[in-house]
Amino acid sequence: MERRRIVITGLGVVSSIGIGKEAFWSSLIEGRSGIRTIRRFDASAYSSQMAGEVSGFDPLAFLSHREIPKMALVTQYAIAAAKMAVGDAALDLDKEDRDRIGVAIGTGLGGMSIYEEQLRILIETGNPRRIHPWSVPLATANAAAGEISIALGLTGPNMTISTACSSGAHAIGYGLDLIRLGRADKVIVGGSEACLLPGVFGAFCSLRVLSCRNEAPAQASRPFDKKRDGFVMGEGAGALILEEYDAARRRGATVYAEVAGYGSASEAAHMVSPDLSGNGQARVMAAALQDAGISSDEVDYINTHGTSTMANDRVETQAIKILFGRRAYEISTHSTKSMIGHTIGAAGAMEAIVCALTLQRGVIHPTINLEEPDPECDLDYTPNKARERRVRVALSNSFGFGSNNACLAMKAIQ
Amino acid sequence: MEQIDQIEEQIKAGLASKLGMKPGDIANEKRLVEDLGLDSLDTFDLLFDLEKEYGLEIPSADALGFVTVGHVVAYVQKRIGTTPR
Repeated sequence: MERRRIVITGLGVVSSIGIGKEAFWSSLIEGRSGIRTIRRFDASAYSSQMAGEVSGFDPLAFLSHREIPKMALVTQYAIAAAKMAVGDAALDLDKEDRDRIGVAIGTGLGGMSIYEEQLRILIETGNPRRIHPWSVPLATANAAAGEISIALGLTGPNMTISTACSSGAHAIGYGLDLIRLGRADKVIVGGSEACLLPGVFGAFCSLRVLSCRNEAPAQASRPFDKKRDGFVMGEGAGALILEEYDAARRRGATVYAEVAGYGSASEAAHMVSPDLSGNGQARVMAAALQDAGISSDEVDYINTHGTSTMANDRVETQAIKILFGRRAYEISTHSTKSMIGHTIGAAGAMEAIVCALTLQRGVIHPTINLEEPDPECDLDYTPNKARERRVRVALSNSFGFGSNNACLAMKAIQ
Repeated sequence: MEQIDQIEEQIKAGLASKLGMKPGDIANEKRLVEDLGLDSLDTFDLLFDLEKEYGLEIPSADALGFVTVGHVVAYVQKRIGTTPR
């Protein structure tokens, strides 16, 4: 049986550099950083004090007065992204069979904001009856996927994927598989994260993975640069509409790109460190290409995981060289995280959106703050200035805590 | 007791604020579910607020009798009148 071709027909994004795909894209192309000193809470006592915070997000643009308090911020971002994606896809849900539309959303920390808030109340009052009755539905990890299905009346499969930093990418892979397997015809896929919280942020600080370049927030996320000192936490959401190519064409939809392959593999190495040989990351990229039936020679561009940690950027560079050999130097790469930081469970989805727009528009956004490359990072990372390039095949890498790797292979529509 | 007199006003103001309505629209005979559109979560939220505001513990069995706004007001007034704070 010939495999169904699955394409992307709608995009929605909530980011620190813009709400909506066009604002997001123009900031990326201009190399604008969304990183600044944290305003959400007083971070002055923390080792890292900056983040890619979303600003200018108006939940009333997407939700009613009564719905807003019933959703944690992570869910509000997800719903906003999903509604934008449906609108962008010009999908008239009343004309669709809602039983055949699924939702798959990734999130690393889910509604942790609710736990933190309610735990604080419990400790302050000493009274368990002061824990708000909405805490369970607001905090549960699958609130975002559930609320999207409820808001849009989508009665197909509904799934939440939580694999830390690769959650968003796996959600897309899962959605791809749902359509391939015939379990759904369309799937809203994506990822959402809103974890700029005193407790969660402090935990990441204690893990010593965050940049401490507090005096220059916009320069703190500097993937592949010699002076990088860790990642910068971000937040936001990305959502994409996946559907079969023929169906998309029949309804006259704009098609951004094809999601041709998905690689999913554990490194079975370490909870927070990558397999330093690079073999684990090379293997998941190879798996995505194999799934897509694409030769490595066709890959022109890689949206790297590119976190700005010492270990990731070296290992990922090595992994690309293992897989592509000398061709590695002909491939354009970049790191979206240089501008928005690491949005954890949303990252894979937001970066897949970048790939879709890159494939459609033939422009590769820069990796900003790449002033002096680490000698061990010697690929073309598109330093500091966007570059025009027609891309045939893109890879999007997402590597998660828990030894968990994902890679999506995406193709331009001819 | 001054507080008892204020209870009706306070409860209606609270409901109005949650529902995005005017306090004047929250009449005693309005039914919580059918007329005001409260779902189970809204009801739990209402109970939570009442317990916190008036220092009560409201058993779930009692809450089953909350059909209209008037029922809620009367219940709280009665509890406040008889429960030492």
